Amino acid sequence: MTGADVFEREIGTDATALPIHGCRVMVVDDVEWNRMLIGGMLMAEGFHNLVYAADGFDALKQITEEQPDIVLLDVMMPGLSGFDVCRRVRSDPRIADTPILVQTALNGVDERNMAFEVGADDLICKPLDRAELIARTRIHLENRLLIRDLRHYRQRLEGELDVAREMFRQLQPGSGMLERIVADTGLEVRSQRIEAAELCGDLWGVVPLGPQAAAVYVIDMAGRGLSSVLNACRLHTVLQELIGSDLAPSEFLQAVNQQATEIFDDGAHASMLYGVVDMADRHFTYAGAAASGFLLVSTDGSVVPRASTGPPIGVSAQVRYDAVRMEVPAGTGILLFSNAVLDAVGWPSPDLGFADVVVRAVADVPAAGRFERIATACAALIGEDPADDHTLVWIAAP
Amino acid sequence: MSALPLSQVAGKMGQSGTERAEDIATALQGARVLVVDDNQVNLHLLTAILERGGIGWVEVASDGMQALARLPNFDPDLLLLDLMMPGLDGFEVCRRVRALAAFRHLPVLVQSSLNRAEDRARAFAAGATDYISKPINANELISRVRNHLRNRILVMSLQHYRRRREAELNLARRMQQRLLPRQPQIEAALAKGLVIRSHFAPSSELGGDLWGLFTDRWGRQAIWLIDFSGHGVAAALNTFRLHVLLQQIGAGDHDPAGVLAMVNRRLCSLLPQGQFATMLVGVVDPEAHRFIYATAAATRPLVWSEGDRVPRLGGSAGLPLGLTTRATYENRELGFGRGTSIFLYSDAATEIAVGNGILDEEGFVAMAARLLIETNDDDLLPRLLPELAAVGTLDDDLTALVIRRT
Repeated sequence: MTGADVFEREIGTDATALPIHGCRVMVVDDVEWNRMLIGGMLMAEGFHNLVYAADGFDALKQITEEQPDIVLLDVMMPGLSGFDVCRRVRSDPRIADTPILVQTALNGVDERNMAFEVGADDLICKPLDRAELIARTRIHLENRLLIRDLRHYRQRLEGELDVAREMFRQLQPGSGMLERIVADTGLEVRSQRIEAAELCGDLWGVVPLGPQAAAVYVIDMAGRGLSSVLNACRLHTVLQELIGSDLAPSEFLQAVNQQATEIFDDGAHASMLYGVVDMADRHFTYAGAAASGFLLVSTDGSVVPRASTGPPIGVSAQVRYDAVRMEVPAGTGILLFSNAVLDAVGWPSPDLGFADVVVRAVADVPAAGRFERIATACAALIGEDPADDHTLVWIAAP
Repeated sequence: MSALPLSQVAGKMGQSGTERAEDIATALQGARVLVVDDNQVNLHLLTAILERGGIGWVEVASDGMQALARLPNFDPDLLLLDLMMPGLDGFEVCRRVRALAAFRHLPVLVQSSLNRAEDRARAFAAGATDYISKPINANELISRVRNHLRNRILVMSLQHYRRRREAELNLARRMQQRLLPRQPQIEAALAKGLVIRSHFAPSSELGGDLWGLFTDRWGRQAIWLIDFSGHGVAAALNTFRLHVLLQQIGAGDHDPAGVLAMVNRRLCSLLPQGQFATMLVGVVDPEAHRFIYATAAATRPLVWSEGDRVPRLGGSAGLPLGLTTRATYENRELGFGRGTSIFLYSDAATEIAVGNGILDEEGFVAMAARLLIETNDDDLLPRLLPELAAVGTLDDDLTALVIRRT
């Protein structure tokens, strides 16, 4: 398939079907007879939205006020010449993209060069030929309408997607909520999130369960785009209902998986890590679905990767997940993360590779400053324009 | 090293939804131009001008047949075409290029020493995009070529953006369609003696309306209709959350007011500040011949029986959902014997701009009432919707339901 094939299909409607006759056409000429002549040619072709200007200053004023879709501009005019008008239009961002068709009696090379130099889109020689004038006007207007429609579409979609992105962002704990959790539980809870330019349905959350205890989850939706966000929103609603309950992590993940299997549209699935930190008895109990892992960062700066290997959630309701209960010595930090860092580290061994990154980041750094160092290292690793959302969550008992 | 083809750079711009000047410059370097002229000196001259002007890839053809043969493989971004050639002349090449679907929008810049106005007119009539006279003025040629290519880059990148988003939205729209009741549910309602007709029309790709059916624990048919504030993608996100929510709370275990209270409590924590929803939940009690319902600021249901001259209007009260957890909802009743119909709708129908005002509830009810008398239930929605469309543009999602007890 050629690029032209793609282009053709993308155009969809035929450009000749665009409603160009309603476009506002401005005729600028100091000679009244010429204005009438050109206006008459345009009207005979069905253009009915015409405005006229009799000199350069009048033209500039009206281009700003009337926002014509094309200007048919005479060059030789007293006061401000057509070239001057052209220059000024191009330097005013509000009207700079107005198509300008310069009509002139001049046929010399210098003048033609000058016209393009000052920003004219097209030239047409006097005496004007009606068919040529109409053909050129039509081509510029069709282009303008096509680009305008497409830009409107983009603007509308970007607006809608921005609102959706902001709503989705609000599903994740904000700094206010983290402060409250720190106050309620005495745990140190920190997070970093770097969003991809495209919507991705990655989600995390933390819920206080009492003094020194909290539940935490990190979810990485497979796929990208709006559909992945829609599924993540559904999952979030499920989590909101379940998260206050006293289900153990394995049961919790099973319950989430059962619901997810029911509500996800075909093919959608996610990796998820759910765990309960209880620093009163110094344990972390967790269950994981698909490629989800975390790191334990000990007080001495050593880092141990932990991976979970359960099947992804949303695929089969029958799946059982096992929980692992492990001791977490005082001062140890639990670092949960989404897959973006692993993708950034790359093969052969993303888990160990990321662990190395963390080891280097926390070397000789006291416990209190470790999260910042890790976050800085992750930001460098991820870059400014990640392909996937990046989530980093740190929980520690000081 | 050859530059990336123009179409690829435009595709990348469309991917990111940007129009940066440096990307346009890069795309221009990868542009392909096919020059057609029977004169070798001219071919060299034109090629030299284009290359000096920064056009990355120029190929030549020395007659019309060759030019047409080169098109599919070379896939140019612009055709620079001589008119006077032996064999197939430029006019004919132009016409044939335009007849090929893949090249209907290819910029064709005609260059010719024919300088009479009627020649130019003929070239445009044959499908030329532009016309430049010989002897060629290098600056003018480059300016024109660049203008056309810049346009092409812009259009291609914007179309790429649009195509990609449309695919994304189509997928999401199909997902939203699947939230609506499916045929087995409609048939189950029919088995209970309820004929349900529906119309669901988001104002753009996705909407903030949703309706559904469930059976309560006494086996009675329940129906609900929700309308989230706003429309488009953000409002649609909320419909997906609500759909899950109703499953989660076990809506069938509660009376309509109870369902609204539970949904409200949850939406208060789920919805961002400033968003809310109106909703009606109703259940058909076949033994008492009643429609028991509760509303959260929803539009008032219309009820009529066969032979009625005027429909009855049910009441509506209650705060919208998601504003305050203190909101309370109450059950109401409407007589709903056999042969009675109920009409439920989202408020898009009563917010159509008419002159300086809107088609308000009174106006809409009057319109519906007239149609009810003139027609039967089967035709109500098919007749009502075009009438609404004739009143003005719907700029919100519209859902309309007719439930008839047989």
